[in-house]
Amino acid sequence: MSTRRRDNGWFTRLTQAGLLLGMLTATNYGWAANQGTEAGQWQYLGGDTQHTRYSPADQVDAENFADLQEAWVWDGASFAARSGRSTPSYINGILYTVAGPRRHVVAIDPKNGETLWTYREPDTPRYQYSMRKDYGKGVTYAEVDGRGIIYISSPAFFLTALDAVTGLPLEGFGSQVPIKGFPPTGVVDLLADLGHEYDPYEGIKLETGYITSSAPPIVVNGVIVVGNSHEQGYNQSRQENIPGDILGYDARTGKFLWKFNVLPGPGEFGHETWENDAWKWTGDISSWAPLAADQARGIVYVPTNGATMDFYGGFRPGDNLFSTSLIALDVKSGKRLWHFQMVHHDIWNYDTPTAPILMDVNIKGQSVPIVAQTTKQSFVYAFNRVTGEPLWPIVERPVPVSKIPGEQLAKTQPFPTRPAPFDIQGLTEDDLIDFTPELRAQAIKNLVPYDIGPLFQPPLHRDNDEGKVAALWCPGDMGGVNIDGPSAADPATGILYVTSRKGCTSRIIVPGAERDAIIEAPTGKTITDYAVLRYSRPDGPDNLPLFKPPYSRITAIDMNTGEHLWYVPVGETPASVLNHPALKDRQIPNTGSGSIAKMVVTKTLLIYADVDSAGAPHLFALDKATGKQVGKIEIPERTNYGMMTYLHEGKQYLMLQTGSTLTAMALPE
Amino acid sequence: MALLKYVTLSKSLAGRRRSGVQQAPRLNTGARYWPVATRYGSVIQALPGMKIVLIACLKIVLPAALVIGLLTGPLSSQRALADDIVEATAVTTTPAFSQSQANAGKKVYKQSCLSCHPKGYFDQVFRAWQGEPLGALYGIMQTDMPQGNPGGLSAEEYAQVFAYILKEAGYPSGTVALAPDDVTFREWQIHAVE
Repeated sequence: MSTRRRDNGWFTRLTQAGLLLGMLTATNYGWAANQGTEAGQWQYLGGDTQHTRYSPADQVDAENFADLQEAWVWDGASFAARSGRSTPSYINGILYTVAGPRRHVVAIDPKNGETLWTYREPDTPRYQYSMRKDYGKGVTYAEVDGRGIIYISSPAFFLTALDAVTGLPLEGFGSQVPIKGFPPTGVVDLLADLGHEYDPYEGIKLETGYITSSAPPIVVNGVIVVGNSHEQGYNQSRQENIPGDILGYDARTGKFLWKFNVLPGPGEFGHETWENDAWKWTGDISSWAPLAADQARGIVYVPTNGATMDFYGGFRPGDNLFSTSLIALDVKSGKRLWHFQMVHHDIWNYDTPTAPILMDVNIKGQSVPIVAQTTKQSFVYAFNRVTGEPLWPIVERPVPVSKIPGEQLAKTQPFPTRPAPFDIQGLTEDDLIDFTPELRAQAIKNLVPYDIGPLFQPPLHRDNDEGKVAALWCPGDMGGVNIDGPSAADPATGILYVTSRKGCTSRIIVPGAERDAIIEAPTGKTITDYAVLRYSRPDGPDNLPLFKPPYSRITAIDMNTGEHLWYVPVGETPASVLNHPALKDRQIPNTGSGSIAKMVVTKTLLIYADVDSAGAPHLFALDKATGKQVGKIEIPERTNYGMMTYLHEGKQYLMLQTGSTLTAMALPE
Repeated sequence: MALLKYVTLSKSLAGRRRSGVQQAPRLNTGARYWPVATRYGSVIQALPGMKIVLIACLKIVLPAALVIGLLTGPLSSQRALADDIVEATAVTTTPAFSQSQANAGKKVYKQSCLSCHPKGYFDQVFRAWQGEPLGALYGIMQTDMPQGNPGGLSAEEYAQVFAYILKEAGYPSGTVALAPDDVTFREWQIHAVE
């Protein structure tokens, strides 16, 4: 164990007692009881633990949408905040979020953006080597003995509990971390319960593996469930790693309760899906997207990443449970209730990028509690969230085999039969730009060097017998649903709103040693036979996009029936397309900007952030039933992640996560 | 022969996640990496002993050219300086971008790129992209980045952040702004020479 210590200030706070008292007595106003957020609250980064991103707020509507204006800006520059993924929670009259790579916990006055208190974890090498520092996304909240507590998991992989009003570490929670600067209480060292050799200061040795955190934990019925995150799979070249096992703790004491092994060992369910001894030494399968929970039933839903590593898995034959899966765990015991693996033996980087959404819908006259997971594959995987039974059949279909030596892909993959895919799947000439015959012909020509095919077209190595540069598969890991555009839903109607992007992927796959030689300090010890070197990409014709529009869209899906109701392009046609000389005098329909939307659903509107044709950031308001645009206003900055809304002292605010700042929008007084 | 660019990157090899934790032995050998951009199909690709030629240019030709250039009159920009050098020594210019563009790009980079791509990462990138045109690298960045919201920046911001990456890689700035759609820019070829 290291004896090195650093002297770091661990706690700063600014208490404004009178102001807090005022906020705690804030009145609720203008709300209706509903399944989503209630009474103006926005308790979790997805609104509530069902992640609908729905609020029954109705103060901002189509009539006054154009009147929205900037109410205040909270500047996180001094916290080095950058990503804009940190979503505030609004709880009992205070906003809480995390800021910057140090993942400061920050309490903010919801009326004017003033900082109320902050907490900072001491600096450690295990913090320094985190690859996900600025991706904390938010906090979680629970009441312990009637007292509000804020919980976070940190880049260094500590769990911290703070008093929601004062910001002080929770007494009697966790134990003293043996590093100078840590508070005497309020912190749990999560590495201690993973079962791997580690140093409290340095962390886990890289040759063993790597783990961090990029989303808050979730609290369900007095149990804190902690997910985790790994190094990006496309930055790896060695096969050893540790699994991202899920951890459960007592919300009052921080006592370790259980661990769920996401990579099953001998005797555990799913062990046979590891067909050699890779289960002993490989890992990942992290749960880096936020978790969701059914509070009433005590079930937590865990979306997972693939196994180590992206684009090549020849060293881990088998389906590799529980990679790229949705797992339902009993929160009291940590036992698996059910699971569904969405991609067998994932080598496409089809990691699950957002939290699943929970609603109760009506299917053929029956109320059904559902969980819906939207994915990069452009599928919605929908289940009865209690039994795990698919709402509509999901069938195994044959998929292409890999031509990379040593790679053994699954012969079939699961295909939901309903709802229909919400964006491109597979690639044919018919998917290519068709504004003019000449552009189509050029696009076809540009694709010749690439190996294309249906959904689950596998990567192809360089120097292949086909004479191709690489494979190009659709959607790629930048297509479909992705991190910054979480899906949203209206629990009152059962409609799911999915934002997606038409994006394909091509990568140059090379002998692992070639990639390993340019990674500064790789995780693991044994270099894999193949690894990804870099991106590749066919050019679009004449600098236009390769594909037909829409380049990005929002799709409304009725989860009562599985039917698509409508779709609209996100934002507006880019100026580079609108003003392109080859398209002069042609009527080009709105193509969408190519970006995914940042959405929130209210009682009357679907509101999203994107850009207009000039690239200027805007808020757009849509009629939820038809998709018709009913409002559009310019906003000061681009919004980087899903939005939130709250009601404070009778006033509704829309929160834009604008990079280093938070920008609150509201109607004028 | 046309030598178009040389630059050391060894000073920026500080790890994407290693600070204070673990040094990478492979990169602590004192080796120096010189990503070099040439125009597509230029003679330099076919020449044996390229490293020697590069070093000779680095240590002898360019300083001489700089002196000649400085003595020939006031220069309005580094681009103009380099243009004069071309006449004197057959050494031509580097991809153009302006300092103000790179400064603006630093802000974009911090907000949209840094979490996945600390500065040292671009050493990896340039080495992985050896032999490829800058335009291809730029195109990937424009369509596939940032992760989670690819294509989400404006055209101006992509140009700015690319200018910043070039600056971090050691390329000199000038007064001419980077023009991503310009054929000349897109054809610059990346070479890393150890």
